[in-house]
Amino acid sequence: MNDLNFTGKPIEAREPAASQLSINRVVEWVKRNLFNSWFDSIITLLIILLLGTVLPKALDWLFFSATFSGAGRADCSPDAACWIPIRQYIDYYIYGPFPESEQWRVNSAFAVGLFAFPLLFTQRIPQKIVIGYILFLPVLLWVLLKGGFIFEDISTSALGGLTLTFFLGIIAMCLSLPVSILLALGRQTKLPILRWICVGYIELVRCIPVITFLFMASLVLQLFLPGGVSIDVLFRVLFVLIFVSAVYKAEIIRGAIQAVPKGQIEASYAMGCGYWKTMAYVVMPQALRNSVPALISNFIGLFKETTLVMILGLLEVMGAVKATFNNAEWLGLHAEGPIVVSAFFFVACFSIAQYGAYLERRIRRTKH
Amino acid sequence: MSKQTVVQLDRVNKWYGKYHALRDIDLAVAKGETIVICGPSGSGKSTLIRCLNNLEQHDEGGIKICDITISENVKDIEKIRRHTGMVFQHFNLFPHMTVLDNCTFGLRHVLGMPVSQANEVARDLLNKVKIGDQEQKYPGQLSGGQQQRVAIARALTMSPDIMLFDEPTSALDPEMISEVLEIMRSLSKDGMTMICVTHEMGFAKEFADRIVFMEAGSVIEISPPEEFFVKPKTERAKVFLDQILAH
Ligand SMILES: Nc1ncnc2c1ncn2[C@@H]1O[C@H](COP(=O)(O)OP(=O)(O)OP(=O)(O)O)[C@@H](O)[C@H]1O
Ligand SMILES: [Mg+2]
Repeated sequence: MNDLNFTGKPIEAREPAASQLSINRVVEWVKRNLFNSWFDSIITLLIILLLGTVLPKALDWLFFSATFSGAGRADCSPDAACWIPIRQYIDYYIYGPFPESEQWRVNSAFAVGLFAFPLLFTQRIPQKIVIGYILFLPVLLWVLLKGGFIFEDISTSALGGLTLTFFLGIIAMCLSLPVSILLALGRQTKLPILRWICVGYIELVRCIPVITFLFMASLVLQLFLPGGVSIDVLFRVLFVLIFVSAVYKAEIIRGAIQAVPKGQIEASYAMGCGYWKTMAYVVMPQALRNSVPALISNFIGLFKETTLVMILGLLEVMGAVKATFNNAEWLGLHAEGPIVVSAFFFVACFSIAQYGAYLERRIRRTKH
Repeated sequence: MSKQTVVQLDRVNKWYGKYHALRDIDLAVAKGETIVICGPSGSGKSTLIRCLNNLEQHDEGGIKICDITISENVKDIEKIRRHTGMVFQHFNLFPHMTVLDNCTFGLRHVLGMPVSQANEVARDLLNKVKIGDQEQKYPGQLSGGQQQRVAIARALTMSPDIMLFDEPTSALDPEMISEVLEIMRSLSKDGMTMICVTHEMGFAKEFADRIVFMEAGSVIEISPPEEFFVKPKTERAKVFLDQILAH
């Protein structure tokens, strides 16, 4: 059991007094962790040497000697980063070719999408509402960014940059989890035909590269459809992203379902609960909790996979950045674009990872 | 028989593959009776008690619980399960729910009771098993004895007619056994029909109306405790008692 005082709150560990954190302890720590043996010492020295030579140069290139403002290429030094095009095109990176008069729709889409984040972190709001919001989010994003309902239609070619990345990433993440839960349950079911379909589907899809499906979605599908009928490329791309990543999630969840002790199911059955309710309220919640680390990795992977749509000519953030550096003025700058894209993806994916870490902490709190 | 029969087994047989786990079991339990099932390990005690709420399916013979016969019919089985409450050796509380939510689970999801009303029923029973002050904790934060008391309360929320216990104290440290037995005693006194698989012979002596002794899948003796402990009918029961009472 926890250390509990009489109010039932956990006793917090006391901070050591400031005087105890003396130089001695720092020296002690350094000795123990960095210079424990001659081998450790050599490694430490080598790393210090490496950092000493590389880090100053990198910082210099990135910031100190870099050019942040100016009229054009001529203002940039050839030996340091040139951030001028980034600043110049930043609107394009964010909104892509979205019509300027409608950009408030993109801003609202970012707002409703990011609002999911605090919602996921709070425990005040009932879970049903949070889940409802997450499932409704794809519809909301589609209407805001693509049109429909009371909103004017936006052509697919007008979606690009961060807007498109966000659009694809969020919708795919929201919808692939429910699909994967159904697939995992389908693979577990006693109904043979349903089970065979799920097993076949999972085995087939996970043995073929995503990029192949993306190609097929854009080209092959058109061959099968009657002439004149065409499905929006965004829809097809989303379909592939959702239904391919769901396969991997389904396997993660299936493993976690099997790890739920049989006694849990029996306890639920013994109270007269049926199969579906037992799955929904007893097995799935525990399976999902157990698969948080693996699912979070999968979500991060899915978010990054949105960059693959580039091959279909959709200019998501990576494509948009790349396109601007093909401009004659900025030709030959190779590093700046990828650095900016990396920074964006890092922030986005690290946030997802932080959510995972938060979930794990929250789950751990219910034990011991 | 003056009292109503609530559990009726008629030549029940069960096989695990080729292994004959239950052999021709006949048993009738009257309302309000406390039955203790004992016997050596592997004799089929768990199998028998789990057949009563169809967690295991028997292969031959008939089982009737509160006038409902166990069949393939899912609705009937769910009805039978609502008439019976089960307490497991390893508690099987739902670790992702608070103690209170564990106890309202059946009320909410099986009976469709509104949350506030379910909470009221559950709190009442949690107080009865003396654990009312821990309702917001998770099972992982409780001791084994406390968890088993919650498990008993959870089974009682469905107001079952029959309580089934499968070695409810076997996974507990000695000092926690008595707190669980105490709850079982008061249930027995209140007239609950109970079928208990247990090695707690003290409980059996004091509270059992009849003792069912099993061996290799068969019931070989059914006697009141005063007979069973003093003058067991079979040699096998005598040896078993010598072994278990030697501790
Ligand atoms: N699912 C199963 N598959 C195959 N054999 C089983 C299964 N469950 C139980 N058995 C076998 O059936 C016999 C009776 O098992 P059971 O669990 O009912 O014994 P028990 O009397 O409860 O023993 P214990 O006191 O150890 O709990 C044992 O020999 C066991 O190996
Ligand atoms: Mg057993």
